[in-house]
Amino acid sequence: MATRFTSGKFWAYMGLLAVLAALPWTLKGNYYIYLAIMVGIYVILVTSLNLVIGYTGQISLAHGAFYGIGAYTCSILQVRDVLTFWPALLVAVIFTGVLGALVGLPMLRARGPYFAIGTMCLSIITALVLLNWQGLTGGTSLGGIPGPGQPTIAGVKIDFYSNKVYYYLVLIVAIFTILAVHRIVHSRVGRAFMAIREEEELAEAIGVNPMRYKVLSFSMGALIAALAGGLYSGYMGAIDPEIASVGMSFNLLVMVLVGGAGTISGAVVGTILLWMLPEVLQAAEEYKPLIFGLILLVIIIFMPRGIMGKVRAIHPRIAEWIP
Amino acid sequence: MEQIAQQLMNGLITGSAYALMALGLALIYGIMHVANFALGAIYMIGAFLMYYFVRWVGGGSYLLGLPLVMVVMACVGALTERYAFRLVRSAPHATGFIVALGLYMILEGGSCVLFGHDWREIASPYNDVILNFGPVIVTLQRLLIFVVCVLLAVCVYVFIMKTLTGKMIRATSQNHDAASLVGISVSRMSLYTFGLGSGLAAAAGAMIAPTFMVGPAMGLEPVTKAFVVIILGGMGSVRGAIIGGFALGMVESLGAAFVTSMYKDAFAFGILIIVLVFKPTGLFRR
Repeated sequence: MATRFTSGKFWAYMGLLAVLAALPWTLKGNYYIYLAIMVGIYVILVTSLNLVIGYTGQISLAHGAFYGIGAYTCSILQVRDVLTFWPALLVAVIFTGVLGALVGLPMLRARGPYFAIGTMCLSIITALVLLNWQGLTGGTSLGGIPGPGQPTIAGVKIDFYSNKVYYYLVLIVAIFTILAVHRIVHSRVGRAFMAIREEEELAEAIGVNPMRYKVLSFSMGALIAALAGGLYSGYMGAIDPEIASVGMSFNLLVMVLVGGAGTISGAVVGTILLWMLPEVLQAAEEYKPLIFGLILLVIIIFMPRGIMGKVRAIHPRIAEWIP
Repeated sequence: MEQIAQQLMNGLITGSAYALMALGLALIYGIMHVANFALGAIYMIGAFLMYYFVRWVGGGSYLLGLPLVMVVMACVGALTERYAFRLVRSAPHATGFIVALGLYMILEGGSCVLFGHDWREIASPYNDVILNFGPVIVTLQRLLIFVVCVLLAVCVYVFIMKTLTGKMIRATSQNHDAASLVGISVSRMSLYTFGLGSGLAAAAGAMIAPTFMVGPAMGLEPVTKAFVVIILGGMGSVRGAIIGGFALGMVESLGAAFVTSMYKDAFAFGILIIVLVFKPTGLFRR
């Protein structure tokens, strides 16, 4: 521990954490806190997709679908008065994780473009079902989701309706997600993921069961996506099938690849960049796909490993400091 | 019985457009191993060009617009090859797919900005002419879709199988190095194929458009279905693409009429997922 507290890296991260903790107090107006919360939710989503795409090498276009299924499961359980927010979130996360495994088991047998297009079809079907199964999902929109509300814990009332409080909730979950994914990819399991990414046959030859690890990665990705979905529904109070659309999966893919697939920091950088750029450019909503597409194209042609892949390759010292 | 005949006719018509689109995708996949998703946007822009052509020149010359649209979009397709896909030719296959996604987002996003989100109608004069074949009713426009798509598909098939350039394209798709050795320019063949595929997709869009609405979001669904077709028909197989396109059209219209119309668009994707479960590399692997 002594070395940890004297290392510059540790204090650099503590400084970053302090900046993130102070962020809502420096932002003027609720809109910017809303943006910070959305970026946080997307960091969770993109980090989990990075596990599937960046570390396991499976281009999934079903991540938006799992996000949507998580959000809907969590919300429906609350709206129907079956469960309150936290248990509903837990059920949604487990349900979506299991669903991810069940779907992944057959789908992951397909490879490359077959897998990408197969998962895209899953997204399309999910969005169609969410829209058309009106008895369950409310059709075009589902509102009146209570969310975490204003519980009293140890005599202290925590008001989750406040933007600042929700920001800290999302921040904590995002940090834990990043730490968890970091732990996973630096474990034996993570090395198996990366072996499959590099060369599936070779991985199999050295005793890694590709199907088992691919399904594990896909299911973990789905599970974390559902967590993000639950947080989103609790924040917004209303959701619509659009969150499970193919466009959503496209955007998440762009964030992973632009930031740098297979780097922990890449998912964060990609998310922040692609949320902030339209804001900085003062671009209207309708310019977003154009901007995203242009960035994706430029990055994939000139920096195939993404921004953080490039930055980390400059010097080993940088790669040591930035995961 | 009458309803079945009517639905089969409808299936043939939408199927012919799927076949044309799938043919373009299959040619490009065959030669460059790129799942060129951008064809969905090319299809959509083809429909938009036709919309403006009919608005400015008049509906009477609708069919004159078709070759024009095809040539313009073939040039656009060739440009995407030259300035995007060629740059990543030596990268892993997945990169080509991602470039295609990026192009799709640019073209669709650009169209939203340029044309707006509104859905428009193309006033084709053939929409109002109704023909009766016994129990089967069809508008002249829909008959034209079928005739033009089949004609184009036959022309391309003959071009690929019989002409020298077609043989060079086929040689390139079999083996790049061997094709280079006998003096075929792989880059040029790739350029031609992207142009040809894009022209076909634009033709499908321009023909189908008068029976639907025209809008920037119209391309996603047909290109995804065309993917389903080429995965079922064997990636890169010309014959598989044509037959598969018609088959999908029939399944959809019969399914919509006799099973459920709400999930009409989900049939293709459901079939694909089921096929991938049992045959992860598609039905007819080349």
